[in-house]
Amino acid sequence: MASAVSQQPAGLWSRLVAQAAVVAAFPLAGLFLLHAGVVVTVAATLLLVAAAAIPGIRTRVSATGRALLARSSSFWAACLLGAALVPLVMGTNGYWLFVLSIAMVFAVMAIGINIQLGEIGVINLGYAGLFAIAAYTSALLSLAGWPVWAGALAATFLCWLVGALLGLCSIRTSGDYFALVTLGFGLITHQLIVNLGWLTNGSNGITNISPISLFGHTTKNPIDLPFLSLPPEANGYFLCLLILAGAVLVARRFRNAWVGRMWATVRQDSFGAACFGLNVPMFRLKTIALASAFAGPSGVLFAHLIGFISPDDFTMLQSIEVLAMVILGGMGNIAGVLVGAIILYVAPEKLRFLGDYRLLIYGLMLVVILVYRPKGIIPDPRRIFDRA
Amino acid sequence: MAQERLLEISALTKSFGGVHALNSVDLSLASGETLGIIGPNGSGKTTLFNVITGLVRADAGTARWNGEKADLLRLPAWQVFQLGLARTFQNIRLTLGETVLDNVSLGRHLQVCTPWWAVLARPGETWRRDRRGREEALEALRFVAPHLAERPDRLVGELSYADRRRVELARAMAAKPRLLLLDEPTAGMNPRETDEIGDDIRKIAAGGMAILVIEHKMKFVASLASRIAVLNFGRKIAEGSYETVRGDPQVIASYLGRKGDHLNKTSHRKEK
Repeated sequence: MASAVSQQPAGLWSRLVAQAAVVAAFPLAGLFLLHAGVVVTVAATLLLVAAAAIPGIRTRVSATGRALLARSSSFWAACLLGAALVPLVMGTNGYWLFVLSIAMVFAVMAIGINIQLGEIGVINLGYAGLFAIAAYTSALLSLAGWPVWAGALAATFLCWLVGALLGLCSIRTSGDYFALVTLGFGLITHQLIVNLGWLTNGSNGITNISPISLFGHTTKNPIDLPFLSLPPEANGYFLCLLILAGAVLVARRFRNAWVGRMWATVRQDSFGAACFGLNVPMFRLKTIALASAFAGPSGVLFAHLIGFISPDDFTMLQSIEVLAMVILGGMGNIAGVLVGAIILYVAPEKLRFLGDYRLLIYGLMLVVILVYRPKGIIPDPRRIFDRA
Repeated sequence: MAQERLLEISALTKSFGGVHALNSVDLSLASGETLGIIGPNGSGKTTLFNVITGLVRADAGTARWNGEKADLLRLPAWQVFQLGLARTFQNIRLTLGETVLDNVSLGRHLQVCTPWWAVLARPGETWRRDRRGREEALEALRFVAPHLAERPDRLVGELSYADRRRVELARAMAAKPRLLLLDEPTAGMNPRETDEIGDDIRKIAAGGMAILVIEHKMKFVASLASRIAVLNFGRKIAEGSYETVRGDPQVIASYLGRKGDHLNKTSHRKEK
């Protein structure tokens, strides 16, 4: 049965049903977030663990997943549609919409980190530094009177540029040294933000960052249409969804073109790539710069949606958390990375009923997932011959 | 020197610490010629290839390519490839999780790659080029290994060792180089597979491509190359036709062994 799903091209009807299921899954997950109490949450968690642990269920689930991902364009369209429906089931409650918005901000970052870690295999421990540069650039420019979109472009360009410089620093070194270079970069950025008080207001942070507005409608206004009214947080949610969709589109476009194939080649064997005409150092540099640019939009959204940024938001722990999202979700697989980012950001919020045990359970969850799925929740199919 | 010299290497030297991997080696190759390179393990054969293709920097020496002024030894690997040299590796270097065709397509990289902005802004153009590159890669695959070309979407990791070598050969052929460097193309292959690869290489040579081939199997080299160079401890100790080289006392002492020397088995194995 499981193999039949993965090997035979499914008929039109079963495809439609599968796509409808994908669409429906998103509002259902929204309802789960909104209404599930302690009992339901624990039961759902146990069910997921069981699904991961029992081989029969596991193979069936992953075969279905593969079949869905095989027609990836329509799969992604279904995901977008489903995600757009989530605010409709949330009613007037904006809390979860806001949590999901910030989760999507981190998902954009995770897509960027995935290009470094998942595609060419370099570890970036200072991605929070890039995130900070974007957030502060955008916040300061908007305080200086720039429109947000212009600040966002400037921030993204700056991240791209700084990423290229980081790549340049490590062009003569191999993968592991890049981790050290970026570790230093992250720490330096954090210290600079704390100490350049005249610019960044030091450890007090920047408050009253303007919300994002479009034709006079800001992200602080509720959406009031004749047939629909949504809480103010829905604005940020749709905006983040749009940016995330754009990030997925860009990442997928590169991955499905020659660049993506070359990423896989360079990661496994840069000598082989060099012997077939690839300027490997230059290619690495461009890849690192591209990946760094994803910090731009995420930093901008973060600053303007929360309205307050301080150095505490951009510590090394933040970098590691985003790395964890990529590793847990499935290095090299965009769908996996998104799942990892959403789960890792949303789960601690849903587990608040555990009080002080929250982080303990959270850590345990990470360990259990990686024991059962060492290559991530949705592994990259290109890695089946890699050692786990 | 009636023929045009394609590659002219002189006084090539490379040391790793105290080990002289290559010690003042001279080699030259005419276009369309096949030259065999033999020698015991550790005699510098693979280092020779790595130095020529720019993976390893030479300490001294020059390599002239096709009468051009540029010294091959000063160029990085990706520029060497652009001049028209493609190689295979002794320890197969393929991307295992990708399909056969994806791997072979790497050989068409220069024709396929577009600027990064075009990947984003002009996906149609990028896709068309990719498509063309794949068709050309498939052609090369059909030429080298028709049975693999029937299912080009198989993952390389699923293939047998011999088939992986064929994919590597097809990848180098897809680049349509002027000089093909083959590093032990039959390592780990059984006699039948060895013969098949031999036929492939002869077919390639008949098409006018120059070939440098490293091999251990003497008979096999003799069947391919009109000229053979023998390396030992980084020095070229003999060069010439198979008969000349086989009779050379230095070669016999260092590589072939004499009947009755040591165990007969050893010499038989190497004669294969």
